[in-house]
Amino acid sequence: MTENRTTPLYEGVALHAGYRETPVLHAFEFRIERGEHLALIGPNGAGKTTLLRLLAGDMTPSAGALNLSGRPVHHWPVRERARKIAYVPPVLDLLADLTVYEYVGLGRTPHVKEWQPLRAQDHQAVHAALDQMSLAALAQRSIHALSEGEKHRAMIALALAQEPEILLLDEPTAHLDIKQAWHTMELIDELHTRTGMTLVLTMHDLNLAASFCSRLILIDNGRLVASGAPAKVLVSDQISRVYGYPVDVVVQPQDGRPRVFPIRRAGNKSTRRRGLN
Amino acid sequence: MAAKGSRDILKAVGIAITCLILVGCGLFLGDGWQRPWSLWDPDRAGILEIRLWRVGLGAVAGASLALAGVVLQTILRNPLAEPYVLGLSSGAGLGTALCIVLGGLSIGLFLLPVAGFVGATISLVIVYRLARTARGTTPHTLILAGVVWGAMTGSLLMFLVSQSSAEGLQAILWWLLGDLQVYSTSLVLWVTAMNSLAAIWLWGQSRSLNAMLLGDDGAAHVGISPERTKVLVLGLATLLAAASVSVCGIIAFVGLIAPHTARALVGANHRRLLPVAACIGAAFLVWADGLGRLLMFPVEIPVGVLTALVGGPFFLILLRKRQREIWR
Repeated sequence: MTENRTTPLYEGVALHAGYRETPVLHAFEFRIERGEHLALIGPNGAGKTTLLRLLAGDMTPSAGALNLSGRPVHHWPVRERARKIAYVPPVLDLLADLTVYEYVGLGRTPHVKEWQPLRAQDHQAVHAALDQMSLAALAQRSIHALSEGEKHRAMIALALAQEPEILLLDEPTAHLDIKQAWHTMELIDELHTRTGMTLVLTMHDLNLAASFCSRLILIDNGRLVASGAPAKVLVSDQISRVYGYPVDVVVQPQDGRPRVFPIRRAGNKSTRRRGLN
Repeated sequence: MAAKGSRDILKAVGIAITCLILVGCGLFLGDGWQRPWSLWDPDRAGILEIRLWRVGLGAVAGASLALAGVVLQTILRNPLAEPYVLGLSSGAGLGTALCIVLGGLSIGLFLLPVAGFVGATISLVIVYRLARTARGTTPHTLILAGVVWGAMTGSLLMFLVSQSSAEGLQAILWWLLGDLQVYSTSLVLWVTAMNSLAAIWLWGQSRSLNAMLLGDDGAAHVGISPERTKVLVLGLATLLAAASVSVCGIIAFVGLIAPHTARALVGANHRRLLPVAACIGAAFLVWADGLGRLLMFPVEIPVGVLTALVGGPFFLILLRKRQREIWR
């Protein structure tokens, strides 16, 4: 009862957003509570990344409101916002070369004054972040010399060094192989259980999302289609319709969570030939 | 780990001290270099004083241009960016020359660097606007816009020069080519004071500059406002470059050679990169000037000619390299 009265962490009310002429999100209504482990799913171009960028404060809504703890996200001062939210991009974008330690150290930026060197507690936070992402041994390596999986862990470590309440991850497993992808998700999940940090991620891999997240938001064409536990959202009819391809949903006996299997369509020979032309 | 960190700092300090010693050795470059001790002969005291001023000016200008280069490269995300290449130097030159022509000298010498700063700022804004396409600026459009703008302001500058009296012509020509001769010690002192403050302020922005390596959104994600940072550090860089142009003319490519050498030696962390690049720039310019006096003695080669001869090939090598190879 009291829960309804407390302000949610994020609240979107009739949220519209887009890039110049192309609207991406329409009348989006949603809430995100503290401590959730949430995945935004949907086909390419559905608006997952746009929603995540809105949550990060990179974009401003064209209409409606998006509040973070009751205050519009884009009204938060950047520095204060960076202490609350950390954002992990899908690929590393770093102009020049830094060591892993220097790179992760950038996560302390919102906590220290501009001209001040990192203090003891900042170094401690950087070490802790490196340890959590098992990068301690690589701290003095050049960041561009790391493997894709290691680079990705370094990006998460930078976010952790910010000591945020909310961690936003855009496609955290897109460029990773199975082992790296599942390992990354395990690390993120461990963090969630240990710190109670709120996690919001966009994800293409429905099975990874189903295995790790407590809630899924399914987006299609800029509209919210379904929101709830994986078993409630990953329903074969719904997923087939939204993704435009027949799928079967099976509950995995080991963890009791649903898995999605695309079913190859009969007579797709001609379709394939047409596709080749 | 801490040991590795302090080793990096030691390395940076070592390079900086080496460069400063090289700057000091610049005093001996010139007539009588075979007998360096003769510099302290009482009858040559005049020469020592002239050399001191000249070396000091070279160090200040070299360091300023190098710092401006570092900032322009990081903020414009362009390894070829440099005050001369982007047309800032000729903009500053035009501003300074207009100030002289319009009688600014009667108000005071201190106006010259200010006029240079105005000219360079206008140039930066125009070049950046010209180079911006729908997909942002690419390294090559920015350079192209800079070169075109540099040619336009350069020809206006030439026009002003062609209208000046014959006796002043030689001095103006030398100034255009880049000249470390000290005409006014108070101007040198004023520029030194201003640029020292700008350099310290810039160094204080090291962490913001490092955050800018993450791109605009990336910087905002770690709590740095990209717009505020860009305006501040580009302003400081333009001031550093323009003030040195107003006192010693257009000197090309120092802002390219020093930053890239420093990056190769100490990496891209601006807390180390800025001071090391400044020291390398200072040593480079002082030695280019000294060698210009020595190479064809008694004929003196203008320092701008020498830096362009060294910097031109350096620029071409960078131009042919792939983006990622340069930065890493």
